[in-house]
Amino acid sequence: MDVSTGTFHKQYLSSLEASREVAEDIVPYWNSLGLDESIVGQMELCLVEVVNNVFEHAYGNRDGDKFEATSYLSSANVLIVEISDFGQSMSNDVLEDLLSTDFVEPVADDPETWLQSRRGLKIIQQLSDKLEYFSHQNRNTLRLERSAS
Amino acid sequence: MQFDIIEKGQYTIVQVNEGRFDAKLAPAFREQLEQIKGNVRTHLVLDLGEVRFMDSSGLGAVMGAYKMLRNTKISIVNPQKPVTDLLKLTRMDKLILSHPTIEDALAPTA
Repeated sequence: MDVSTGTFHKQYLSSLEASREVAEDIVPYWNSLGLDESIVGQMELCLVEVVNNVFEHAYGNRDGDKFEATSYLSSANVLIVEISDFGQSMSNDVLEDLLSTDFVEPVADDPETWLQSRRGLKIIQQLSDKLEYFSHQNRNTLRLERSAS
Repeated sequence: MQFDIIEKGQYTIVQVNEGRFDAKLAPAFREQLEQIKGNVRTHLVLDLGEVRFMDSSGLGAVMGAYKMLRNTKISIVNPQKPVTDLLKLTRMDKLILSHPTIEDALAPTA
């Protein structure tokens, strides 16, 4: 963490367990900000889903590719989380589809409703106040906002 | 051991002995279920009492078990709040019931 700005920033390498590594680093930082336990728990889930998404989709389950995690509390008391990768970017279709659909209620005799695609991204969308995704010069960033008030 | 398997009457209990049921643990859970699927009794009870964090990969592994064992009743017991919150958020609580204790899950009316 940069003590002068109060911002958390660290580089990681993609792997199946990278989400654990990032959570182990960031959750203590969030706790040090005095955030509510339930907000920390929900944002930990969002963080893990984003990092897993980077590993699975941006880097095709490949180990050893660089990504970055940044987090800080804005002056408006909004928790910001940014995860940036340098791999395959997410298509607009995925995001548009995500924003237009909710979780499907599963039906016992309809297996199609049991295993939903992009469940992780829907979780992120539901638990954060704002989700943005942008790509610039091969750098893809998923940015989350969550009110800390 | 990541998992303990307990046979009890008509029930098979799978106890997850990990704090995080996530993308790292999910493949091992699927492998464990593959190994025991031929011997699972009429009711599979997933004891998640040790699990304090679950993500969509962990949930996907549980749903995979549900799909694999289509004629087997599946229950979750001892869930901590993050697990019940995730089940509720994703609406999977409609499909897989949670109970506070193993005894509750094994009760005839559960």
